[in-house]
This record gives sequence, structure tokens and C-alpha cells, in this order.
Amino acid sequence: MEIEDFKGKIDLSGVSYSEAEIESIFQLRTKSTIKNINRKMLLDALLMIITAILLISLTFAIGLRSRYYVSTQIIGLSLLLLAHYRLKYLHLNKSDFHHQSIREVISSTYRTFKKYWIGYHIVVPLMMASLSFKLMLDLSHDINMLFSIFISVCSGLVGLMVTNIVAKKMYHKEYNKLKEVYQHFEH
Amino acid sequence: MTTEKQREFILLIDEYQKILHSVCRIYTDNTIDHEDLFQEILVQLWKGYANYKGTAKISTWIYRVSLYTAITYIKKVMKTRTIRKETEYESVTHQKTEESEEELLFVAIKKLEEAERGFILLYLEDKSYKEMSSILGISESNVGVKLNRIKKKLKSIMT
Repeated sequence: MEIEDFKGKIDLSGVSYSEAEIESIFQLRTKSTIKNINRKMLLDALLMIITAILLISLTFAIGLRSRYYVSTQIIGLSLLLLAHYRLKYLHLNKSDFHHQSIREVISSTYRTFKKYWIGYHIVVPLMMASLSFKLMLDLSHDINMLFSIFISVCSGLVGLMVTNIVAKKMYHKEYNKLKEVYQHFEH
Repeated sequence: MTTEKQREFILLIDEYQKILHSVCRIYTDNTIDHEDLFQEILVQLWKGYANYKGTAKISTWIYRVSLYTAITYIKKVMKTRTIRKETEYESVTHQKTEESEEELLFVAIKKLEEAERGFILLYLEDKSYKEMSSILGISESNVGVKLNRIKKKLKSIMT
């Protein structure tokens, strides 16, 4: 039998729910909307909070002179990142199927995802490098400038490595899958 | 959202549930996954329903949300199913005399890529190239080209 022979003649749906069943599914699912919040976003945020707590604890543990100042900076940065996670979640989950086709939504989600992917690989190392440079200056005013730069570059490289590992672990499969679907529609 | 709006939405789903079930059947291979995907699509449709202004045909909008949800949902839940797909097709092929051609077609469809399944679903539901173009977002001529390619692939899987 040819595929053409099935066209318009095959019942693809298979099952049918009663109105009451649809209503119960709907009630059940809408009541637990909170559970639908992107798990990846929560993991991101959790990871960041743990890192912030660890860094603050470290400043106290080593008895850093400017620990209150450094801790305030870490908290400020964390709040900024939390706002970023929320924005990212809203951005990545925003789909307008009234005006956009599947290809358009997939393309825009993929492009957004890609921007974040590249952005993380640039911003995080830069942030780590600048923070460590600032920390070096805070620690001592008569510190060798070349040594400070060297430590900053190393921190930046570590940041890049960690970002790459974390991003791959958390998003690689999703990113690749989205890329694959995107390519299917684009080519 | 008022209860009235919810009622309106449930009636709409009741009327168009065939679309949701077709998508679920094409993208899942057991009842539990079918139900899960149905619920997921329902949630996504409800999210978009508040802003529905009738700019797109209602069935077009439902197809877009359902197919997009199925394509993106599969990566979260069904990544462990790749190995099973191979074995299932083989077992159905061995029972060729007993199983219907329709079942063979379904198993073969599930061996296609996620995006390709969307094309074949719309084709089997006898949608015009114009409708398919509007749902998927590619030109009508491109729909034809892609469909031919997918049909050839499907034939080679089935033979």
C-alpha cells in the first residue's frame, strides 16, 4: 500500500475524551502551573545562590578585611543574575502562535538560545577576570600590577572552562535538538 | 481569567480535540505518553488562549501550538526511547501478516525526525499546501519538496 493511499482516509486521533475528562485534565494541570516553571532556570538560580553563599562564607572564613564590602558586591551581583534568569525564562518561553508559524517560533527561540549560549561564554569569564582583578586591588594596594593581570587572566580562563562545562551539562542536548529542528525548517 | 473563559476554552478543546490526539499519536508510542503530551498541549493552549484575537484560523493556531509543543516536549521526556523504536519496528515487521498496514505506517512514522513527523501528519490529514505553509511557516513550493523527500524516506523505511 502506498503512503498516498492513506491520505485523508486514516484516523490519526485514535481516542476521544469526554468533555468532563477534558475539564478534569484542565483543572488538574492549571492548578499545578507552578510545577511547570522551567526546571533549568531554577537549577541555574540555585547554582548561583550556592556559589554566592560559598563565596561569602569564604571571605569570612579567610578573614578578609573588606569582607563586608566584597559580600555586598557578591549579593548585588547575585540579585542582578536572578533578575537575568527571570528575564531569560520569560524570553525563552515567549511564543506568539497567533502571528507566528512553527518555523518562526523555532527560529526565534533558537536564535535567543544561541545568544545566551555565546553571551555566557563571553560575560562570565570577563566578569570573573574583572572581579578577581578588583579583589586583588582590594586585598593590597601595593600589589604588582602584572601579577594582578596574570591572576585575572587565569580567573577568566577558569571562568570560561567552568561556563563551558556547566552550559554543556545543562543545555547542550536542548541546544543541539533545537538546532536540529531549526535546520530541518530552514533547509 | 474567569470561569466563563475556562468553560469556553474547554468547549473549544472538546471541539478540536481530534487535532491534539492526532499530534499525540504521531509523537508518542504508548497511552501514558499520549496522555502526558495531551495535558502539556492543553496547558500551552490555555496559556495562549488569553491572547487569542482571531488573527489566525483557530485550527491553524491549535496545530501550531500542538506541533511545537510535541517537537519540544519530545526532547524532555522521550530521549530514552530511541533504542526501543528500532526493536519495535522490527517486531511489527515480523508480524506483518497479522498487523495492519496502518500500524506499520505508524511505526515507520515514528522513525522519522520530529519535524518530518509534523509534515506527514498534516499530509495524512489532507491539509492543503496553503494550510501547511501557514502552520509550518515555509513556502508552499518548499512544502511540496519536503513532502516528497519525507514520503521517499517513509517508503524506504516501510520496505
